[in-house]
Amino acid sequence: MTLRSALGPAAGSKRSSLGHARGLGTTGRGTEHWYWERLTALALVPLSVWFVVALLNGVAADHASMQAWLGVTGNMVLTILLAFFFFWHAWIAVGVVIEDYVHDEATKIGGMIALKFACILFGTFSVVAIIRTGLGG
Amino acid sequence: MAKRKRPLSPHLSVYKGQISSVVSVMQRITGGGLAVGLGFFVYWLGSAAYGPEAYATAEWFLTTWFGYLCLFGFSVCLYFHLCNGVRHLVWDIGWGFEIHQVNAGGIAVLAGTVLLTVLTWVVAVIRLGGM
Repeated sequence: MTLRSALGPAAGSKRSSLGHARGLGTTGRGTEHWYWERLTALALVPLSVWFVVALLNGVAADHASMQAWLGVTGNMVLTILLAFFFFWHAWIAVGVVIEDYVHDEATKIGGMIALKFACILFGTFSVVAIIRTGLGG
Repeated sequence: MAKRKRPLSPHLSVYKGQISSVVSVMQRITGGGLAVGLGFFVYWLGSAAYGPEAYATAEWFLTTWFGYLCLFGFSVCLYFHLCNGVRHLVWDIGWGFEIHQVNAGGIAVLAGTVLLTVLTWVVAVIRLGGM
C-alpha cells in the first residue's frame, strides 16, 4: 500500500470519496513498466555488445571452446545476466505489443499468459544450459 | 449488435512517412525480430548443454544459407534496436527533443545500424572465416 492510498482521499487527493472506495483512478504505479523496460535496456547495451565481441573472438567456434569459455566464472555470470535481462525485457516489451495490437480480450489475456510462461520457461532453460555447459555438462 | 467499422486514426493510407515515424515503427519490428532471435539463442545454448553432438547439429544449421540469413537478420535487428534504444534513453533524460535533433538522431540510428552490421560481418569473415 502506498503512503498516498494509506492516507486516503483527504490527503491532497482530488479523487472523490466514492471513487477512492471503488478503487477508481490511477494506482500511482503507472510508470513501473516504463521504468523497468528502460533499466533492462540499460543493462542490455553493454551485455549484448560484450557478447557479440566474444562471439567474434571465436569463443563459440566449437563445443570445447564454448565449454572452456563458459567455464570462466565471469563469462558464465555475464552470459546468465544477458539471458536474464533479455527475457525480462521481452516480458515487458512483447507484452506492450500484445496490449497494443490484440483487440480481442480473450486472445489478449491468453497471449499475455503465454508470453509470461514462455519467458519463465525459456529463461530458466537458458540459465541452466549456461551453467551445465560451463561446469562441463 | 453488428459492429460498425469506424475509421481509425492515424489514417495510414494517406499518412506520409517521416524519418521519426518510420524509425519508431522499425523499433517494434526489430524488437519482434529479436524475440524470434531469442528462440535461436535458447536452442543454441541448449545444444551446448546437451553435448558436442547436439552442438555440432546447431552449428550445422546456423551455417546453412538459411542459418546465415537468420543470423544476418538478427544482427541488423540487434544493432537497430540497440542504437535506437540508446536514442530513447537519451530522450528519457530530457535531451534531443528539437525536431532537427529528432531527425538527425533517426539518421544516426540508420547510419549506425549499417556501419555496425557491416563491421561485424567483415570481422566475422576475417576472424572466423570459412563461410
